[in-house]
Amino acid sequence: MKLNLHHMKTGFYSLLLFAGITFFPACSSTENQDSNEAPPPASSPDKEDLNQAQQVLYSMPSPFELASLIKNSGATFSKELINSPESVSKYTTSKSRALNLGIYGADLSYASIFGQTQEAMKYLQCVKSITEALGISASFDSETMKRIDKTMAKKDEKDRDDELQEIVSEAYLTANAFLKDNERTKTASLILAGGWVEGLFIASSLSRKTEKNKDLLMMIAEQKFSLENLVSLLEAYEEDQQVAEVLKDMNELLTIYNKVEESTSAAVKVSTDTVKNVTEIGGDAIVSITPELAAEISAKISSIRNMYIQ
Amino acid sequence: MTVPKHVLFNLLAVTLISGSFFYASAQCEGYGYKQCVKYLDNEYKSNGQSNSAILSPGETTKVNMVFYKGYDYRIVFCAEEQLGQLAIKVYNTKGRDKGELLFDNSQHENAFHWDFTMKATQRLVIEVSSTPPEGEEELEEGCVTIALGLRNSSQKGFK
Repeated sequence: MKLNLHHMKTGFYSLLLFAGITFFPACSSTENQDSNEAPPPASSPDKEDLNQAQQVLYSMPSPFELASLIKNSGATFSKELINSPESVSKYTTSKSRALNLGIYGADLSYASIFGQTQEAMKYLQCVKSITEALGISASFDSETMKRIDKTMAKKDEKDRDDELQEIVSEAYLTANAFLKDNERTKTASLILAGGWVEGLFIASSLSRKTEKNKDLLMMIAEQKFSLENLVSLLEAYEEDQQVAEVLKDMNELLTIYNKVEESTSAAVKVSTDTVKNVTEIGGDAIVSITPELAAEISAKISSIRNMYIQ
Repeated sequence: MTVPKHVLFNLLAVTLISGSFFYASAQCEGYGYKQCVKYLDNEYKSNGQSNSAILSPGETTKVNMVFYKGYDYRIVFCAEEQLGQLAIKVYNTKGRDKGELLFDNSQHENAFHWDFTMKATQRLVIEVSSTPPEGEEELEEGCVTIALGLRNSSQKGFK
């Protein structure tokens, strides 16, 4: 199996023409501004090998999952919360690009899931610019570009938003897989971290506005599990300075998150419909959080996120 | 929506017999996921994450995942032929420890997918082990991929 890099490149530039020149010239490409972008040689040893030997994987929620959780809580779209598309040209190091690819991906997901299609397109352009700069434009091949063309031509807003979400989700997956398959897992972990930080930042900022939103509060509390997964994931690459810096930030956040009460005796209820072959998993809430603790988390995640978007 | 079992088993058979899941080891993540994600069906949206590992026959991989209240999930497991039948077990957690066994595919005709609805958010641990055919002398490692799809329980769509 070989990846068709020619088509990927063609697709990406076509997409730049489509989204960049046609609609959003403000969000320009960041290419040719970085000097340390080269991926590590294929044989370079790192802890990835050790991680594989342990055979433990830590899964993180995707930006779309977090955005979906925010929407399901009844929260609204707040344009002022998300990172400015104009900032994209500021990100010239591999660390800032990776983190902000995650951040813009989360912003794109947030805008898209709330039906802010024009806003989403601006962020799509930012994502494309950074993926090109990071050398992972594989996520936007010619097929993806054609699908976006067709999607944007749709008149039905719901269809258009649904399709756009699907395309972005797939592109995110492709980028992640491409990085992992090309031994750039450190970059992939920074992208994941950036996306998760932005999702939590949005949720906690919205929570401060609507303190009565218990679902949002619970969602913030439940991110303790994702943070623990993220810390474990980053620990596998902590010999890398860029990863170590982010890991330090996440550990500081985890210190606060450890105050979230976690029940170890919560009962789990499992029932299976043998006809439909579907299982229901229920039970007691396994975490609890006070508004004061949520505010403390919010302050910390805001500080970390604002540092990352500088 | 549940994929009829005979369809799933046929798909698995086609995958194994044709060897279409054969991969270059460096591309386990991307190619493995492409092979696996199609079984999510149109009713479930991929969560946009891939979880792949290269296993030696007889080895186990463990994935820590969080599943949220209010969503229907489908997990699909794919593996290369030489790894044999997959043994899949899903547990909840008690703190950082493994809790109760929630799913064991040996109790479900060795199914390679599981559909479930979350009524409460849970952190689950998924264990996937390869069980190579007996009598195999030269055992090779292979790619295992887990694809996760979800949809909003109440609206039957990813909203």
